[in-house]
Amino acid sequence: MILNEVLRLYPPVISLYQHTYKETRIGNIHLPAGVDLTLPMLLIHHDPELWGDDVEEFRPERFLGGVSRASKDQLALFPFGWSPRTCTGQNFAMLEAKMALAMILQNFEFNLSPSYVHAPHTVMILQPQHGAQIIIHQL
Amino acid sequence: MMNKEIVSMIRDLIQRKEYGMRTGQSDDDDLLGMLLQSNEQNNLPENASGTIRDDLSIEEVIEECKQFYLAEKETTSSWLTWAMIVLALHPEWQEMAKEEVLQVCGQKEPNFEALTHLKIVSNFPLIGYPFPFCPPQELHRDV
Repeated sequence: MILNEVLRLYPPVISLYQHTYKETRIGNIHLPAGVDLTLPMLLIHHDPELWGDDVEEFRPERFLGGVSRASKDQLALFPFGWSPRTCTGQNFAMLEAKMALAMILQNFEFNLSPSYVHAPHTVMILQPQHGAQIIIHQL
Repeated sequence: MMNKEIVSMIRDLIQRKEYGMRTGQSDDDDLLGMLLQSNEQNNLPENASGTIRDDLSIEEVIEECKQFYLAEKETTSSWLTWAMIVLALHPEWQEMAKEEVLQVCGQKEPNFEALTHLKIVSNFPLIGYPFPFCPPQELHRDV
């Protein structure tokens, strides 16, 4: 639930781009060749109509019933993209992140330094603009 | 500009790895070592005679490095950075996650089985590919 909610609020890749090389149909939408398409994950993940008025809050419990039930009406979490071209590293990244976070939690307690300034910022990837000053205590 | 800088960083990385592998200071069993091993076949005489190449050129090794070291590493590390920040901001969730980890794994290093039981940490489903899974890829230019 926690890592899902982190991906919702701060997807490392904030949007995906596709280009139609030939006339293409997606559902009921007809697209001519040569169109640039964007899937703006960051905007979808922060849309109150899909997630509710608490959309800006960190509430991992919204994922209690699974990913597809966390948003209204339809699935709205696309941190790895979607379709046959979904991120090939998805499962690996999920296991890697769980493993790393589990080992951090086994050994450390941590809180934010007063010098931390919250400023999500994109340089290719969404990251804290002024760094992540975290005070770590060994358990 | 950025591409130039990235390529020169990767070239430098490759040169140091090649030097390390030649002098025996570095193994070839990591990712970069394996990519370079494939490239070494490039230099074998039988490959010089117009047979179909199934190995990687240095340029291809550089492109693969961009994929692995930027697309793979930077994404996951920023994800974990944000996870640390929000758990520092929400100590109640940090505590709940820690309790779950200690309950499932104790002090042992987590294994695959244990990771699948960590639901508070993440219940994002692992995707199963229907067999035979063959993601379609279309070439838009000669590769």
